Amino acid sequence: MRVLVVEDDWITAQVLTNALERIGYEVTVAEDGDAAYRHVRSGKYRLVVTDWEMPGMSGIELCRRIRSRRSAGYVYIILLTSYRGVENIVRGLDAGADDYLTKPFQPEELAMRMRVGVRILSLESRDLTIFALAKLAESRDSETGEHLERMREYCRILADELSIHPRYRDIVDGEFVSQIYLTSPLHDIGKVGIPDSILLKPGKLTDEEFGVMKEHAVIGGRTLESVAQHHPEASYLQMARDIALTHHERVDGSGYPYGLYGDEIPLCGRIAALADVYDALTSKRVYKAAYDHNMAKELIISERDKHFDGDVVDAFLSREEEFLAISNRFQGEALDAIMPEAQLANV
Amino acid sequence: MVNRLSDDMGPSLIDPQIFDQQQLLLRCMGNLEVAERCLTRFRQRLEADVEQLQQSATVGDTGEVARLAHFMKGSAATVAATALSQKAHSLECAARDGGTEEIEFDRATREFMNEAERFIEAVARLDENS
Repeated sequence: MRVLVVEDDWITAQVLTNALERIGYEVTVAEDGDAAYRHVRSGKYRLVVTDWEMPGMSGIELCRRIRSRRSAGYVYIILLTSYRGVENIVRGLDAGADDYLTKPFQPEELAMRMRVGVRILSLESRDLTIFALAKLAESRDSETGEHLERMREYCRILADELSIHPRYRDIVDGEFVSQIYLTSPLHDIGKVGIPDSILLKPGKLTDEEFGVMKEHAVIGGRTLESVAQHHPEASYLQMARDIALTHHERVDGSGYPYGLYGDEIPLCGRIAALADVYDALTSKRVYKAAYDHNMAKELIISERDKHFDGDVVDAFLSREEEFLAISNRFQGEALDAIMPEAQLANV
Repeated sequence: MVNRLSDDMGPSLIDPQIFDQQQLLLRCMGNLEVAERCLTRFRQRLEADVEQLQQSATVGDTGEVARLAHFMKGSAATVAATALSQKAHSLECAARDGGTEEIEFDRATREFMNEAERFIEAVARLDENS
């Protein structure tokens, strides 16, 4: 893996380069912040070890500039400093550094901190891969727009709200919230197993076709289950499986595929059910106009303890303004994305 | 290249506070060539910077003294010249205050110069013994 070392002191740069190369990294040295920023913009570097005080752009300023730009992937920054004390560490982290190393560094500590960086970056790669997979599955149905982006945000908000609820405090922690954000986009992955003639049919589905359509929950659940069995340590796969399998269940037992009741449905499935329906209601489809937020809200309230878990409905009501903001934000971004074409069309 | 350094962990001829060669080798993960190169470069740089620092201190350019002292603090720490790094740190602090405490600034400058001389002499002894 490539590492960019930003250091104006030749000696420290040499010692750092030697240590990093011996650990197994491919090192490039930039002597100042401006040169470093040009390297980062090339997109080749995901790991940066930078000195704090340099002529021209300082390490702190470099952190800020890297963080302020849009990039294809996260850049992990370790700030190398001879400054000690909590105040300076906080200043560095506040500017966007992920970690810090005090001069003179010890190779073992450098190796350990680099490993943390690589692990964080690999998690990001995992997250992006999961989302790409979900987008791929969704791509056959061009009408859903940014459904996955919105849905994971709704799931995150609901889980976050439930984390302070006495009944769920011990179940829903930060990891649960992160995992539902990560895995909820996979809820409809089983649709890859549904024929185009049914998935893309413009009109109403027959009972038989709807029966086939319903199979997507089991197809998705089983697919993720087989992966989860091979990787029992990856608990997020179990949540992904539960969501794919149960997001169409209803707490009154009238849902599919198994007609589970109440708490028989995993909490993540109950959360995903509401998030999925809210987004479907507030999005435009060929067969319906978009409901406004209040209409969607009334419908959700009317389905309390029927389709939806009452606690999840309460969580939705507590955070409805955030739902509305996300719904509006993504619609705004979608408009921004098509504006250049619209302007061209007017020329 | 003169092989002044050795990966023999036996007792050093030099006070490790002045220069801890084993520490430098550890930091270079046992790479004698890199350690030698860094030591040579550091000594050359130190000799030049001491002269520059002396001139800047004489004309009261505390900003330049602080910059040089900061640079020396980091480099000296990296090559395991611990005492020199500490003296550079004290000088940097005194210079950053704008040298307002003149006695303190003069004392810090003098102590840094003395320590630099000790370091240069110590490395010269290593050269003689190599």
